[in-house]
Amino acid sequence: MNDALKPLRKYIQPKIGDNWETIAAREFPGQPQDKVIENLKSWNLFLAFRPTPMITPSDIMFVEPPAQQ
Amino acid sequence: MWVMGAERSRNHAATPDEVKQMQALLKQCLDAGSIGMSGSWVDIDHERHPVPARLAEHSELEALCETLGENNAILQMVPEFWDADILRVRIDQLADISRKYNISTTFSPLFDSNAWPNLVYLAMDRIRLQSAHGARVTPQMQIRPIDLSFDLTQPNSTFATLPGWWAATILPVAEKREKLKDPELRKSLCTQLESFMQPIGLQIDFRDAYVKRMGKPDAKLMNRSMRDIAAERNCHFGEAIIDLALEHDFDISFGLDAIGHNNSPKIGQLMLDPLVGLGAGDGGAHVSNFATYGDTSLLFSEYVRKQHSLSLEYAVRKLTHDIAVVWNVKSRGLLRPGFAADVVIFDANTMDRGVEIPVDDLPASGWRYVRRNAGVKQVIVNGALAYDVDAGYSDKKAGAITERVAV
Repeated sequence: MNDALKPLRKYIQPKIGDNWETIAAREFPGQPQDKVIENLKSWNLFLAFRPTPMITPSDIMFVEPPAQQ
Repeated sequence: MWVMGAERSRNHAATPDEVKQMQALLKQCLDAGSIGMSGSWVDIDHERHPVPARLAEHSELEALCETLGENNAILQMVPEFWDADILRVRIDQLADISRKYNISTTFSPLFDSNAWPNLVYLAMDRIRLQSAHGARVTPQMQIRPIDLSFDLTQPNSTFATLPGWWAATILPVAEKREKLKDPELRKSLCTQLESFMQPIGLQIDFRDAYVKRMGKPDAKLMNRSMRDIAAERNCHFGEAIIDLALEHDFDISFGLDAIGHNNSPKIGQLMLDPLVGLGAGDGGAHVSNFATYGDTSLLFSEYVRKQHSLSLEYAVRKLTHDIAVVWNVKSRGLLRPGFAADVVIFDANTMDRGVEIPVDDLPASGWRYVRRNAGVKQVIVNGALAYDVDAGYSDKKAGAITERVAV
């Protein structure tokens, strides 16, 4: 991929049936799950606060914090 | 949904065989005259399930885009328009699809959030970059500001980040009537309104909510803000909302005006960008939340006459030629021999969308907001008079399915 077109922030798209726990285990293996989930939720407030609490395969989930403003 | 059935499509991703069936169905629709395919990454259905498009893996979307590419058809998506980081990922995804399958893509809306003022500029920078690399991604700039109505009959986007209000409004009416009298719940609901994460880039202060519509209008309450009514009743503004709803058995709506996408000078400048399309009209949708009619009229009253952002000619071009080009519509968008004679004759000095009016004309229960346009004199479709301001609508059906520009 052209360097200019690289994603601005690292993200994943969930697999079918994923939840916070499975994503945390897959993306951050060996790290404390509670802490990882806490981070994931804070980086993805839209997913954490959506009224229908469901993670879908078309969602964008960031796996790093936002860039410093 | 046609391929998978209503229940499966709302709870499962498609199998490879189902994706093939969807491709065949899409081809059939395109052959019959569809302009393309539309989907959403954010919407929920009437039972607040994610719409089926959201359960699709990216590979399913790509398979359908392959079919769009074979037929020179367009892809339209609704992205997470209120979050610059997610929106830029979606722009990248649309750009990749556009290049890979050689199709035009568009998303709705491009939304100027007062809560994230540089969001639109960040999005446009990404679109410019992707366009420079051969992608066709056209943002649809919304024309109208966000004026919302809400009531306590059902959850809506106003309560999307207020879980207590969402849960209360979703209850059956009898149960809701009782629960909303519970002091503890009332206190909790009021506390939530003091500080909450704003939904979808809006800026809501429920103190500014005002009585917008009443089943039985009461002049002593109409148009008064919750700030005002709460002060008069010596109660919290949240309690004012709850009590008014209970006193009128939920047949009362509250308005919140200009809570997003309302910086007209800024939006007018963005509309000048050749990469920005106009759209996001949602014509007819949202029913009792707001009237999504008249956006094109508003373009002339607000952005041509009041703001002087666009010339009359450029506004017409944006609504006709540019849209025909983006959507691959053949023989439309210009007055030229061989093109369809679709003409709107209007008074540029009076063209306006009119005010929101609640009307009770739905086939079953419920009501909706409408607007009455001013300024349109005649509408001609394929050379036949379809509407005249004095004579009304004609019975002539001269319209024809538009063709897509050939591959």
